[in-house]
Amino acid sequence: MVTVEALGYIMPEIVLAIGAVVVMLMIAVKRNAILTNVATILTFIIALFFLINQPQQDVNVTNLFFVDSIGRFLTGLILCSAIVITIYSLPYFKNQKELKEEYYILLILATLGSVCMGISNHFVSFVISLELLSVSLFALIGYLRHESTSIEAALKYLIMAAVATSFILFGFALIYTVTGKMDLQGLTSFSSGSNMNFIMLAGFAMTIVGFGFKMALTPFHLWTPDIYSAAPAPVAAFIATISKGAAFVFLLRLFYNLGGLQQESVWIAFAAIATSSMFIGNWLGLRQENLKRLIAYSSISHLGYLMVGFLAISQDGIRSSMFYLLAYFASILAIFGMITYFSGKKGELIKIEDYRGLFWSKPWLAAVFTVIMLSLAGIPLTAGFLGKFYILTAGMGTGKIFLLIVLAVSSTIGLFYYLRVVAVMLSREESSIGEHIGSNSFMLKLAMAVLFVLIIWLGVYPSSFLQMIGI
Amino acid sequence: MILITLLLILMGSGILAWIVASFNKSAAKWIALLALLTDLVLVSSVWLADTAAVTLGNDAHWISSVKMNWIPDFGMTFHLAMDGISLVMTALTFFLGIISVLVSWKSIEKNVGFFLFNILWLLAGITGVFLAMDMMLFYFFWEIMLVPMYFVIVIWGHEKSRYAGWKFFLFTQISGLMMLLAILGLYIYHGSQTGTYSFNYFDLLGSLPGGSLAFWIMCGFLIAFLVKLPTLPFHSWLPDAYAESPSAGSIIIAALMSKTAAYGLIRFVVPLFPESAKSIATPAILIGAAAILYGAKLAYAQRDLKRLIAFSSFSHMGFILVGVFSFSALAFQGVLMQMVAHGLSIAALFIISEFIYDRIGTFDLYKMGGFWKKMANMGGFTLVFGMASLGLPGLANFVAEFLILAGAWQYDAVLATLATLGLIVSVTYSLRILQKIFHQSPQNDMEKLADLNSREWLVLGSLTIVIIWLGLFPQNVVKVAQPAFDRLGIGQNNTNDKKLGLIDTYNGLINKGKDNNAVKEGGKLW
Repeated sequence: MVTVEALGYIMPEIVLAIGAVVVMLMIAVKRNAILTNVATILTFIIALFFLINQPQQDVNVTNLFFVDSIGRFLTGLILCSAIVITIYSLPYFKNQKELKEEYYILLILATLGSVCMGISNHFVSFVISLELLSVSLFALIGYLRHESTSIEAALKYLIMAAVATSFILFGFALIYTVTGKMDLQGLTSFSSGSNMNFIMLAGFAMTIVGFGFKMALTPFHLWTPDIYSAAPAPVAAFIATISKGAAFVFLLRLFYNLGGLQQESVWIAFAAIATSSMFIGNWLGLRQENLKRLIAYSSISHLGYLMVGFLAISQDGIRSSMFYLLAYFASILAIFGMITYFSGKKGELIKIEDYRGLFWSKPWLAAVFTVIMLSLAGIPLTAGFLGKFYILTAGMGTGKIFLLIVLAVSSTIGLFYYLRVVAVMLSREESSIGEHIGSNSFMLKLAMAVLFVLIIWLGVYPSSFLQMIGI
Repeated sequence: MILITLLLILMGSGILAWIVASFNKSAAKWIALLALLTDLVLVSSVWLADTAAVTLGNDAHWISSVKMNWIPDFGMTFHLAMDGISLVMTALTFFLGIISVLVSWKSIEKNVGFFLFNILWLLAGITGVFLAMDMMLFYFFWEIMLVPMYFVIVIWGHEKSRYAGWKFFLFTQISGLMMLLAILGLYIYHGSQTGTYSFNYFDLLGSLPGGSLAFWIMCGFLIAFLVKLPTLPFHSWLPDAYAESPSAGSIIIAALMSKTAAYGLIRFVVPLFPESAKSIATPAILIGAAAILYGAKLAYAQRDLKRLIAFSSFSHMGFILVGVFSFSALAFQGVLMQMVAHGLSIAALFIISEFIYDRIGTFDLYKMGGFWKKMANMGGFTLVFGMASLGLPGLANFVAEFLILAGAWQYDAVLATLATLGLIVSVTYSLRILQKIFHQSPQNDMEKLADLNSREWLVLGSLTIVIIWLGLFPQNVVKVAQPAFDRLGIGQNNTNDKKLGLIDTYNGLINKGKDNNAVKEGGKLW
């Protein structure tokens, strides 16, 4: 039964849905990029306001949604990231020929899809939110339709997303065959130990493949570099953070409820995926000349680290992965912010070489850039380190030593390419960076400054954030 | 609070120097110099006040300590504490910090502000390592040393500096991560035993793991410390990093950063894992002795002056390994003396190489020769530090190496003999420095060569005074650190009663004797 009181718990989602319609109508009345942008940000802020004022309780809203502290945390994280991405979008699309306003409708819808995914409690609501997210993303990736790479990337993502969804659907169907349940609480009551038959395992396998595609874990990662490098920087930031985070949270709910991880074969499959993601992500990044592809490989390895927290199978594991998501979101958003900052009339500066000598022409920006890189690499005093630290603690707590050593070794391999970017910036040559949009956009500068402070804050004194996760 | 002040002065003046340098470069240098001087004065005042307290026969105590909440969710505290060992090491840090700022006064021209920022933060990291009593705080400071050092090597280094910087960063990073895993292992073990999760050193000392668990956790710590020290077989980053850094970087990395590893061995490995550490004592001493000989051989074969000094440092670090794993009070005294004395002498040698490079633009020994005629003063100083490096009695290094070898003799006479051979081979390369640079027939035009100016005199002169002073009156250092070593000793004596008596005998000697001879007698009495 839906009560009015229960609806209060999904107010953020309702606000987003209304916001999308309002923005659409606003465009029909008057086309103005700045106005639309502000309206979008306002939508997110109102949604955030409702989220913060919710009572801290775990509540079922119909059979479809379950609002708990993980869900609330993720919703907040997604909304904040969406605000940052919206801020990036305004200066970024200023120079583009396309109509700019419809972009924001798609952005709100994609955010709505991810937020719903994070609180989904049922296969049906999950699939619907997944599709809402994917369909909006096809359009967002191909938004610069005058560029052929953009269309190519959109098509690639379309095919990949469709394949992933069909795998997930098939997997869900098989799980349903065995258990007869589609909501997660129902699945919890189903005792997994006794009935773990072949069909159930096949269902797990299919689901894992589907989620592997969504979260770009190896060996399902092949689409990531192409799409990151071809999509507009703010959209790439969206794919790298929000869509992956939402998928991860549902995966977490699904397997922690089903108890599939206690099954040794399932655990080993996940561990193999995590190990190969960490190694391959860090390995393939080594020779990249293209900064966006490098970030793609970096994000593959980061999702691998995240899986270590997932595989710890403990409360600490959940908390640590949530904290890691926060640190990862901050760092990835900041690095895409940098790329947005330096894009100009001729497009984005995506070659690492383009940043040669940045330290000497723009020392402060380069210092921020360096800190972001160090955060991605996981050096202390940055968010990335404490995230990694928490994951290591969780893994150590349940004795997953092998994964921890893989994490340590592979992240050292990854250091090579993060340091290479820093070294290029440090090299003593005249910087060739010309006009860039960042210098004229106050909001973009502000967003970068906030992310920078956040990265340091998370790395030095994270107590308040840890309490926020409080699961 | 004084401990926090020490760190804040360094970090704050680092940022200030970076900002000020964009307006006025020499003001930035003065800021850095004054900050370090202030810290040195602060530490010296603690030292002077404390010496009185120690001679009154206090039992083991902490000179100063501060503890605040940091991340209570993880059981991390911001806990700094200073005992005798930390006091000596922080004083050394600030003294050599001043020296390294003075040395780079003229030679660093590009981006002075950022350079000073890095140097000061690097020194802050090192100071923090010497003071941190929370394992995670220790790890944080341990890693803070890394990034500024990387910048110093890459930006202001010589030709192959980028390669050297990478190698340095990767070696220390992976070994640091192994230490992090070990710290976490200790944390989880402690939590599972007592129910309270804490990274605090003193809490962790309360419930130590045993058996194979302790062994593996210890290995995590050992890897980090042995890489940073460095010793066989983890030394391959050393020649590149030492030789390619600018001189201030070489001084800090060789004289201070390697000491953080030695400090880690004394502070963490021995007290936290007494049994496991003893079980690997023989191989560890053997590695130390091998490093002494192998390093000396490599040093002798070098053509590049800086690499020669780098390998000599590698060789001397072998003594520290021998000393720590001999598990005798004498050897621990020696290790502390070696940390100070080697820090001073290696810094002086790198400074001399820098002064020569300033004049002739190369480190190639085959392009030098006959410099004594033009630079008699520099030759004199080089003679002093060459002799220090080969262990001439009367200089601090001799006391250190003698104490270590005397301690090692108690443990195993054969191994000690092997390590003693190091004293002989160190003569070869030390004399080779002198002979190649200052004697022989001149290899190039010497018209331009000028002898030391007043700044250079100040730097080398102050180092000479300290190294002779410590050579004549080593008990000044030994005495301050004695309570800290007593505590270590007592920690071991729970399992070995025989040693308690010996340490008492030794303490009696230290209190009675006022010079070198008493220390020597102590060695004989054992």
